[in-house]
Amino acid sequence: MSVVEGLKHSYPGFTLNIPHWEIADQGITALWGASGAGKTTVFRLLMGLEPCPGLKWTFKGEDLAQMPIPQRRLGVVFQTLELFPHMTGEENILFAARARKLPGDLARQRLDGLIEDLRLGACMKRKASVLSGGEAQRVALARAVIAHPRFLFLDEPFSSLDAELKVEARSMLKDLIGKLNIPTLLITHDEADLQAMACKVARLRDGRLEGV
Amino acid sequence: MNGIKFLKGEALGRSLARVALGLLLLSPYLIWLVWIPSWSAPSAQAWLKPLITSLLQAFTSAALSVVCGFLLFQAVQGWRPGRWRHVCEVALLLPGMVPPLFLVLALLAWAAPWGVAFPYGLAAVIGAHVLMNSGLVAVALDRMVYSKLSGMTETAWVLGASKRQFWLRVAWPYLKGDLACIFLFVFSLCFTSFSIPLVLGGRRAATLEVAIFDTIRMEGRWDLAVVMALCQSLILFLLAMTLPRSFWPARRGRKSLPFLNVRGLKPLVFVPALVLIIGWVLGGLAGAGVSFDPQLKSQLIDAALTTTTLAFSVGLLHLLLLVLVAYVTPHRGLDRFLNGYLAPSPAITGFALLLLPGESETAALLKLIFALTLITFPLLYRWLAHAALAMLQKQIIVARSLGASWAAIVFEIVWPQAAPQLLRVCGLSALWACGDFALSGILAGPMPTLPLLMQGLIDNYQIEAAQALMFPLLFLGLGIYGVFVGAARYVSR
Repeated sequence: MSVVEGLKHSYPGFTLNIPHWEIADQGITALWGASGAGKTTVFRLLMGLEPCPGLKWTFKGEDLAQMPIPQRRLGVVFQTLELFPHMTGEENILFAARARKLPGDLARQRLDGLIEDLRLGACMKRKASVLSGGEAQRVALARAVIAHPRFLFLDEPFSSLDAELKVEARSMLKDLIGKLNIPTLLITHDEADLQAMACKVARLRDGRLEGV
Repeated sequence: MNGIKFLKGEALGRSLARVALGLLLLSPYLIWLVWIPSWSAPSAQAWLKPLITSLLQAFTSAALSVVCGFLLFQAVQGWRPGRWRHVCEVALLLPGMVPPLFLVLALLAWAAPWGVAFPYGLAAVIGAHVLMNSGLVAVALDRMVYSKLSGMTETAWVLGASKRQFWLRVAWPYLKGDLACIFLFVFSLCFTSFSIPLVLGGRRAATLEVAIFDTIRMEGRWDLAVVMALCQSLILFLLAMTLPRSFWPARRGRKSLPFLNVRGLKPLVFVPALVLIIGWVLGGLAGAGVSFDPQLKSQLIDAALTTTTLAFSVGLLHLLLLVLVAYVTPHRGLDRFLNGYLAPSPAITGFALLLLPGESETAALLKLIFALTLITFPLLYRWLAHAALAMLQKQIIVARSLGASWAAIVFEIVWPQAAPQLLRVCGLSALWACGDFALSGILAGPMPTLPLLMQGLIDNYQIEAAQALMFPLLFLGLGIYGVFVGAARYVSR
């Protein structure tokens, strides 16, 4: 288990207060709640994108909250995916490999594995700006995991997909995370995501955890 | 049926209004073409040197402004969103928002204790332009990166990319077109800058603008001035062709991007504004004990009244034109024209209107109001008004599909939402008009304005006396700006 303590944040009209929260250190932990419950705020605070002075996040004996963002070695797929539109699918994925200073042959080997696992072959040489929703989502996932992050964050990763693609994407993602053994925090408002993927669920309501 | 006829009539009216607006903005060039007294081809030597000086000056000013603006942009990222971040933005924009006369006076005050010979030459012109524009570049970059790259910045940061990797592999390939637009925009501002080279440059560093002014004013050689004006217009035209898009996103950064912050640069944000404000204070102290000669004293009230009339009229004329633009847009051709069109230089505009008939004081005042509007409107539209109007385009499409007339769209949809920003634009135009001495020097004739009196004092090396008038003029300008901003607040309530 990784333990989060002192996760607090407030802005006008909203207060987030999670004094203690245990996240599984393998498989997928889902943070579930309605719009406005504070899910994205939790996500941004844990990644370090917003300051949270009293936060302690103990993961395998280390306090990740005290580390600068690059040293936390996280992977992320934002809801908007944020692919670099001027790069091809392959360049997007290799950008993350270079950022983590993976040796070239290792990066290539992992890329080949991801192309196979996520069926990326058709979108490697095309610019990210012309990829379909499903392709872009898979490229964003490959980019997030190529460097084998310590922890993976997924913020509503299926929100832009249609129902049929969602089913396929959930299964693909679950298999990949299981294969790479990367602990994952999934943020979602969709109960189908919980049933299909989560091994542990935390419910967030009005900035507070209600049930785990 | 009646409705259809009405819309047809309205469509015709809008088309005519578009043509009229285009002709109005292009009128200085058209007047030169129609009214020019003589045409002949002077030797290249006479116009080549000012052209090279202008290009060199504008290129160096723009390049240094972009470099300094990039540093300031990184410094801004150290400030968290909120009141202080807003103060940072105002501080960065201040040197570019005040009329050039105030910048000149601040620099004169800094130079005075060191006994530097006046005028100072090309380096001072470039320095003044960099001081004026680097904050503008920083804020433009801030908005651009926030609106286009903020998600990608955070992704790159979380994925562990270095700043170098981010800038070279993500930001540069994605933003190079926009950065080129910023560079060319600053280049065009510096290329057509008149007041600063006129006062700070001196004869040896005469730019094309100053050379056109001197050629007509001192030598009466319209033929040579025409060649120089043509050179300048051609370059502006080429720039306009390469500047098809707005460089100023409407959205202000609502979160900082600490990944892009460089530690230690944070206080740098206030340096340009401090150079200006300390210069004003030094100037104000130097001018505190100065007594004016009686002739000048007798002109002060008249000059203040003329300046006030001029500034309010320019602001109101901007308002009229902005409402007209709101009425005739969105229109792809006109949008492209307004976003690419660079105003003719003050010298070209001033002398074009001088060619028109009308010698009376009223005619001179009207010409001056018109000329000041012609040179500031395109810049202010691109910079501040376009984004406010462009944001409403989808609402306009919805209203049109519901069958609303264009007049109803302007007054019921566009005006209530865009009026505060449009009135602020008008306030800024009035503030700039308040500090103009370059166009006034060409068109005002014997009519006194406060900036003209101050320029006369500077030309006679009575710099302390000019500085003594600076604060009254600054307060007058800010007061008029405040009236427009007050109106904006009233409308937005």
